[in-house]
Amino acid sequence: MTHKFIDIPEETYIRLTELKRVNETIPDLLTRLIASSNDLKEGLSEPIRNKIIDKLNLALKKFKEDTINLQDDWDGQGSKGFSEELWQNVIDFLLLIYIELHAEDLEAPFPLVLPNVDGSLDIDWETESFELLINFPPDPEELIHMFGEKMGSPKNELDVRINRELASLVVSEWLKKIL
Amino acid sequence: MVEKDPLSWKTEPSENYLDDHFLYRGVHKVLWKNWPDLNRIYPNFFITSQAKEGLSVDWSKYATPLFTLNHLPDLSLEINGIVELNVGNLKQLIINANLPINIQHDPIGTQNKDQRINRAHSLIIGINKMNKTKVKRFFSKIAKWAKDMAPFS
Repeated sequence: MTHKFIDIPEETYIRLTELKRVNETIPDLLTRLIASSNDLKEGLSEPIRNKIIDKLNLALKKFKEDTINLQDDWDGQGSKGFSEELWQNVIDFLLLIYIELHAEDLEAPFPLVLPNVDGSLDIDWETESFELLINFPPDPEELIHMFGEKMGSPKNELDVRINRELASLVVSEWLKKIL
Repeated sequence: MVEKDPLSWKTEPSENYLDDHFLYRGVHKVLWKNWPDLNRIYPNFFITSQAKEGLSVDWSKYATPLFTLNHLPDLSLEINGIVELNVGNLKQLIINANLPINIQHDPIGTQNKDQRINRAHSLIIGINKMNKTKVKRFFSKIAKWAKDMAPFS
């Protein structure tokens, strides 16, 4: 299935159902998310954007120093290294999420970023009210897989594999719904 | 646990993995050094680039946590820790979460540059692109450091 030249796996359509508004179709939902995100990106002032980036970089500084630019085989068992480009992509991904939350006056703690031996990074929120784990692969063509739960609310489970272009929109929409 | 003839080892059926058995796995420092709390396990150790067909673990029927540590490239607890999964808890999780996962005995009877002889070697199979993130989250909730095998931070 294609939406605005973005291939979306069929199963993702079904799993996005929880994020729809009443009478909204999945294409409607995606159109709304993309439009809203574009508006926000264009309307956001540079100082606020920079403030969010600074906070993100500060929160994740130690992780970056310890992990990014590690070479392949850092564990002696064939592990993959982590590039600066991947790191920047993760920061951009998180920035979009926090811009969306900021626009709604919502706050979420910054997540942990955790390395994996396959060269991907996990973005991990574990709070008292929700848990969300996102696997961010180094290949931009690979789908991003996310699994989220709101405590005590099984209907709000998020279990989606989706393109990188749409992943931050889905995450921020889910967070807006459960925060 | 020392075997005379590794080539005679039989692959055992999954029902031989009893509820009071454990599965051990080494976790490298790069994975845990930024965990905020070393008393618990975070999801990023349940993935492997070495065994594409499954997650490599050692079975407590033929291994101890120390055995697993000794099979790693670096034997220091400053570099690696050993995590254990209780088989009973794993079976319960598979049922509760309806996961398509199983434990498969995969003894290694011949040594080469990538692997050492290991009768305990087993694979957790059924982790795939569709479920890997969910599985990692669930596994992290039932995993613990093996006794005396938490890494020195």
